Amino acid sequence: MRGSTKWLWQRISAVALVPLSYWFVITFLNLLHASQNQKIDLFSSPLSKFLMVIFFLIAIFHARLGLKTIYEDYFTTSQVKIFSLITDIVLFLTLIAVIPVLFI
Amino acid sequence: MTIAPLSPHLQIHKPVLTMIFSITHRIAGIIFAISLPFLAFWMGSFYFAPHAHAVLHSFFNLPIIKFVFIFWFFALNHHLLNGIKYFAWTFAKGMNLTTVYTISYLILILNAAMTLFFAWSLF
Repeated sequence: MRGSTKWLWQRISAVALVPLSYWFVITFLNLLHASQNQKIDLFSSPLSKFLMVIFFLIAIFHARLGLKTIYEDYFTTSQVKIFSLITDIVLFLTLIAVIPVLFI
Repeated sequence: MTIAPLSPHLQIHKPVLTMIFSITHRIAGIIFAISLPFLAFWMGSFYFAPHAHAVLHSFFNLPIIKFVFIFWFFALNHHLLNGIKYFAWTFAKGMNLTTVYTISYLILILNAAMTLFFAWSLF
């Protein structure tokens, strides 16, 4: 991906993340205080499941672009490759971990 | 991969507001990125590992961890509010120095107020 394309996608994902992040914080607070049954209620709506997965999907995409930009600014090419690989693995596992939310 | 020049060392600059907001924007982004795997596991484990979920749920509800979440929200909100400022800069809006300083201080005040509300909702 060209630098300018990354720059553009960083901004497009940022715009989507402004409302999604505040929705996530509110859901986070609700979940933290919820009982087992209340949690099932919280996730029983298709909209909640959809928003949760979409939030993580876009946040992971945005974080991946941002972290790699930071690595490229402060580290050497070989270090960037190692850090990027670790980031990709962790973010992939993050995505895998949140998918089960769709089945609650 | 192209060989790009590295950023000059941070410590050779005299601190200025725009620079502090740029660095804290990046640090806040890193903090939230680190929290993502834990949050994803907390959400997902409710379905695939109920026992692990219960343990993590009790852990997140510990007063000391809730205190950490206050800083977590402050960082996320700083990144969000400051990000809106940078989005305006993309269209060359609000780049006048007085505006930049006013907006930056407003971001801090608004974030402090929102973080207080978050802390109140948390406990």
